[in-house]
Amino acid sequence: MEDVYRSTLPNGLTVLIQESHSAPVATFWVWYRVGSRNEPPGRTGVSHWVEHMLFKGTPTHPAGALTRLVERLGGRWNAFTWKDYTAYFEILPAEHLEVAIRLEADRMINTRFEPEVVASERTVIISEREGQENFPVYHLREEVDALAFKTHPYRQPVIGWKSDLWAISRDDLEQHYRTYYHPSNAVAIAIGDLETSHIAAAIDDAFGGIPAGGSIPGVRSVEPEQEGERRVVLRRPGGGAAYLQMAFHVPAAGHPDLPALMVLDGVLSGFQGVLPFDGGGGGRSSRLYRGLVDRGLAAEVGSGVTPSIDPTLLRIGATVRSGVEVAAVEAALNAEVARLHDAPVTSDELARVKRQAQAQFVYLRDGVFRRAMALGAFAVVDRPQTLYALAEGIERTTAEDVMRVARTCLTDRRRTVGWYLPEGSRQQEGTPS
Amino acid sequence: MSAITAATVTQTMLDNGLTLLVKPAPGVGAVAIHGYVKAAAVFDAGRPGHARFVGSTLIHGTRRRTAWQIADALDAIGASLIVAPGLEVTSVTARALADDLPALLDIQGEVLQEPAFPPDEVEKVRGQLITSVRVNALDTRYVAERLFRQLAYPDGHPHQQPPDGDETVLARLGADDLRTFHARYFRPEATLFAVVGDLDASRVIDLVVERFGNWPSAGAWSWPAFAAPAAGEAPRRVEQVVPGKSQADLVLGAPGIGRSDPDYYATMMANLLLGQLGMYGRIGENVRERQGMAYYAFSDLRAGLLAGPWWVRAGVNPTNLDRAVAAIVEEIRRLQREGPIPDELADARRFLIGSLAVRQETTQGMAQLLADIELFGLGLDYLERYPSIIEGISHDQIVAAVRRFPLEAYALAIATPERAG
Repeated sequence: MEDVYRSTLPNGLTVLIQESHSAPVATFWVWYRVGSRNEPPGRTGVSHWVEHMLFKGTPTHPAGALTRLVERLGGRWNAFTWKDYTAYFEILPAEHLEVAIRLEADRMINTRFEPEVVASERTVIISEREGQENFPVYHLREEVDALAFKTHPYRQPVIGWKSDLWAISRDDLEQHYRTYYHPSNAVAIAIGDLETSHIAAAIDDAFGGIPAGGSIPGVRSVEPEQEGERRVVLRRPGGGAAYLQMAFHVPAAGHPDLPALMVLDGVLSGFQGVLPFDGGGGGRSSRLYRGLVDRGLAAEVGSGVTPSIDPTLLRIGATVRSGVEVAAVEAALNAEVARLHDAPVTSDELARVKRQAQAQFVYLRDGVFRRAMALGAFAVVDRPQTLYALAEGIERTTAEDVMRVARTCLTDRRRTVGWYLPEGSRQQEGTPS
Repeated sequence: MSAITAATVTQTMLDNGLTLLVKPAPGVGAVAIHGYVKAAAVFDAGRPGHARFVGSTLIHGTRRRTAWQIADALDAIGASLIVAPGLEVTSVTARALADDLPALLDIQGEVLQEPAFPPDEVEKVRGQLITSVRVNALDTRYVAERLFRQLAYPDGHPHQQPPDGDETVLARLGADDLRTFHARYFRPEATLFAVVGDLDASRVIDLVVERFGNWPSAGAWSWPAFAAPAAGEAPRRVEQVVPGKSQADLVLGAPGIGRSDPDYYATMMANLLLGQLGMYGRIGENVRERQGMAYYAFSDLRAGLLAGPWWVRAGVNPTNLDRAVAAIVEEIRRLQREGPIPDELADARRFLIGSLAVRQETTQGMAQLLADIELFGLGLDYLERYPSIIEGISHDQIVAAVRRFPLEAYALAIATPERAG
């Protein structure tokens, strides 16, 4: 694995360190293997809420003092929660990296859950959710996820259902924290202008004394094979355009077809990167852009797949151009999917996607932040090595591999289709020109 | 990758007036470009959306290549080239592997100097822009911003509306209108590029001169004059109901200052304390942390070539609107009345000075910083002088700066779902 130091502390904490001396900065991350995937019905959103609580202080670092500490050093910090993980990070001048290490160790075990703070944060998070609800495409995504998965918790929104956000208690939060925030359920990553042995010792010093913690409850649900198309048509006011989303079940990050799947996604909309939340289209020579935007059917189109612990979705999303029927966009999408079944991608296309992937792996080495983000995500959803194996796997991917994955995954029976149609707007008027 | 200093950056002005800054970044394998052309909505002249239409169409075909050939050439090397027309400037950002810089600059050169505005591509872009205008018309954050600008800025001022444009204007403009705008405003003397990457400075300069050296100069370039926003006399408030929404978004503020204003640093620091530092500064502490009313509530000083807005933006449940506005006004008043406390001021100084390293973490971040330094005429030694500039800003200067915020005459714009009662 590309010059990454790897060790596991006796309490189970995975430690990954990489030196990068191109700029006098360093980044420190702690990734916890917990997200909305680990949430039972009635407590959806609890992982994200716990993430917010980790900014509320510990006995050593009261609320506010944490932020001041990082900012006074010229650093920034934040966190995010996803289906498979919750990640916390700092990026700061390299000489201050140990401050971040001590801070993360402290809030791994000492976060406070004071009732009045929990109450105040409840409405902050509901406000966060309501902000997202203002976008019709967010509602559509929730509908498609909930329909695509019948049993697996990937059906739940990361932020949580609103009724759960009103119901989750202080004790629910603390219990979730005590269950999942342990060294043995975490990965610590330091990348930057640092000396590996020195930072390894600092991590050992800060985290080594934390008890390993109990066993982590497994996720029992296994999504059954989808045996027929699922479809939702959402009609509500508030949208200035119609949207189409299509989702197909695809394998988990640990599956040998991951490289071919990423290439397939690249053929559809351009290879946009390997970070969580990268992607979403953009390649204007890609099939979807040519088939939908160039033909005047969609204003925007994209596709993406986020490598995940369990089998997940490849998503395609389009903003329907004003005056165009959603059905016409869906027909064009279906035609693009059919092309992938009927004939192998051309050697030019394959070479272009591979070149894009090579470039993205070079861009990933520009700076420390994105590198740590990619490494952490793969460490949680599979293994850190998977990130680097992916580059080689993409190089080896053949046109036949892409066609096989398309024929296996992008099928009608494994498909969920969602339409959003605006109500009370002029969307259905004629084509502007 | 060394830091940006007068010694590590090479600055060149081509004979035609185009400014180029180059900063080598050995070992990264890639190259990042951040550039500005001072050709944007500021020149819309009563046709809102004109500059956006032009900027959005540049990449859709040149005299030598079709839109497809441009897309193909970029995608074939894993490069990106984005032209983003804004209010005061059109931004040009690009990235490629270092070896592919010549190919990238070939395309960038054609796109900026010889766009063809092919009729079918013009129609395609028109449809995309009109769709986005219709989407924005029902986006509460966008609606609140548009209402605020109308309230706070006089007719004819570029900041009176967002750069996205007006649907009727976008529907009417023809390829000739786009061509005329481009010929008039996209000029080398209004253009600057910062290039940071794994190449020698002399090599980059040669490549840029080869591709941009023959771009004819159109003579001295000057910024148009605009009426300064008049100070209001009383708070003004406008509210628009947007159906189908959960949250209300608000914008409260006033026309701010330009980047060249002598009070810029004091005002920037006042803004940092008011609504940025920590969890959105004092406003975030009150509205979000203490009262739990908003996920976002921050202030922002848009000091550009012109006096952009100084505003506070927040998203709240409609039932909390009045309480949130009161809390925001209270925090502005408190800062105006009492000024920063010593610890707060020290924190702000340390943050601003300390964060210079993090801002130079990537080639893209560095290129943007360099381009901004040039756009605002700060000088290549700016980051070396920066700590002393920040250390030199006093408590009293910050108080004076925040008192320029006309609390008696702020503009408040709200886009909200229907409110019960």
